Amino acid sequence: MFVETHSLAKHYGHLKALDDCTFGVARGEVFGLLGPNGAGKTTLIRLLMGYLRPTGGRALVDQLDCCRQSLRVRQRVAYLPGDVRLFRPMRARDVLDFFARVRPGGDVVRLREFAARLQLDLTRRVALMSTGMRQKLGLAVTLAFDTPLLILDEPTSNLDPTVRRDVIRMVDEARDQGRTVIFSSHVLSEVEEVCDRVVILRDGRLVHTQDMSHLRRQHRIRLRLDGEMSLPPSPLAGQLKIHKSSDGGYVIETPDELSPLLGWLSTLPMSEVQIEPVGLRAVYDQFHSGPDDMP
Amino acid sequence: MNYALWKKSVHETRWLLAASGLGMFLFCWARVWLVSLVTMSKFANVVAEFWKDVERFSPVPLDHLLTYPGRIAVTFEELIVILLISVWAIGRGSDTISGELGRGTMEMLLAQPVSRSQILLTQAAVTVAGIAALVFVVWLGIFTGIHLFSVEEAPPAPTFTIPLTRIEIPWPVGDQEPIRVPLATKAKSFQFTAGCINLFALGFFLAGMTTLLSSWDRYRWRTIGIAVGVYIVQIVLKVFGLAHESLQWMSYCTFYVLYEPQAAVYAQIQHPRTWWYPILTNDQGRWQGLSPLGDSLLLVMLGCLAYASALVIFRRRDLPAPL
Repeated sequence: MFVETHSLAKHYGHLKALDDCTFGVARGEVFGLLGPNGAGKTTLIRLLMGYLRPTGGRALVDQLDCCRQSLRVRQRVAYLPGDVRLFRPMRARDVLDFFARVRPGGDVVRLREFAARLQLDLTRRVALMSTGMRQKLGLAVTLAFDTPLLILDEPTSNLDPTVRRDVIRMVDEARDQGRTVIFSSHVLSEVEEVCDRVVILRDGRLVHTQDMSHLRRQHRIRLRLDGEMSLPPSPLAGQLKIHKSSDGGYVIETPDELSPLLGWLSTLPMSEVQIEPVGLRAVYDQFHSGPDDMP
Repeated sequence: MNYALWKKSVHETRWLLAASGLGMFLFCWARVWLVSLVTMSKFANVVAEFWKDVERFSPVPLDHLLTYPGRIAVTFEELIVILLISVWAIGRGSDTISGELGRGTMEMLLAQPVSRSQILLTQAAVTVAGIAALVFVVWLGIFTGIHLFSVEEAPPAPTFTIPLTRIEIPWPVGDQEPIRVPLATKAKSFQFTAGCINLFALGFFLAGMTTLLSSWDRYRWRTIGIAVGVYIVQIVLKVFGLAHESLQWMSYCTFYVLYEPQAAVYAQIQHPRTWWYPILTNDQGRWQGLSPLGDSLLLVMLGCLAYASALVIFRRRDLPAPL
């Protein structure tokens, strides 16, 4: 595993910002962090960056301890904070120059290429930039560095749809280059699109790990029948979840490929049928179903 | 130290340094000009009137105060000089950690492979270089004033030499017109070295103390508030300690008692060969206390201790997320 945590915890007195968090991220994987505000996503990232000292457990990046060997860890990481704050008196080009100089091997030409892709005005002072422009500048500074690990905390917040699209494309490119990405976001559709695996956090605890390729195979079938529902054939019967919906119809949830079901479905006296992917929302709602849990 | 961080810090503080430097130069230059305008006899008359009341507060004897170097050395205790050096030291010291945290820029800085020590030490280097630059500007203002202005004084009385005896007898010729002589013949700019060192030491200590406060805080305004509060209390303790014998113990509770630039200049002039000794000894070679330069060294050592403590705290602390 390229990133590992073992019973990682951060407590502030009685408040458990993160508790007993254990997971691993494989090299080249895009790993999503999901959870409402205060669930512990940012605390987890800040522990990985060495900004916080863990109360318990430990975190490793490339077998390096994130707390004791923070400098060596940060040589391998490019990090975009959730709230990007840059040096207000500087112009955008000076910011790029600064970060190119401060990081060994930094390449200002590459930084400017990324800035151009994000349509940044390099002559403008940071103090005069909108929140979205500052976010784009932060993205250029983060994505342009050729580090093996990218940590992006809500990278698309404050961005217009076109730039969001570009950012998702850049994350895809990073994956294609074999880089590992930790992607924290509130936008489920983006996480669903870009991540290979997702963990869901609640009240500082990791409550669910979801393999996205598996989730993409899962479907929900809504049926309305004119006659009686016959039981599925025996190999499928144990795998399907069938329950009656409030409107008198049936909802069937498939755990895997849809194709073995189609033969059985065609024998049912259906008046209406609707087949849809289960999607991340359904998984997320199992753990955070309150209306205030997601924006 | 990191060159990119150094450049960034200089870029961020260049206007404050330039403005402080210009103000410092003009004030010191003008202060020497004012010294040159008031003749020594008039100054002596003014001082004589209230000397008994203020003698307790003066770090130097009246004889020294009634010399041009003594009068120019008062520049180091002028409010504007102390204010400008303090504003730089406290402003920069508070910016080191809590300033970056408050602005939220520490997050992006530490996302790079830069150690916390590098950040603190680079900021400290810029701060200390700024203090040195401001102190040099003080000296430059004094130097320029000394070499530009002249002072009025009574001409030496004409004398008559008795033939074959080489004995000179003053020749009474009545009132003579005063003449102007260059101030450079009355005071030398190098005589203020000890005063400059003492001013630097004060700035260094203040910067270190404020950096220490900054290292555990997250709000710059709070760091500045605490630093200014401590500073004012220290000055008050010194004034009270000097004001009455029964309150003298207060002098031992303040670092400000180590800032005595007039005494440092006096020591340099009185003991040109030994003024740089850090301790005072009696004829038997026994320790008598710290010399004025020793006071400066103690301030610098306390400043170093504060910086070292700040480094330990900053390296170990949790960094809060930007608000």
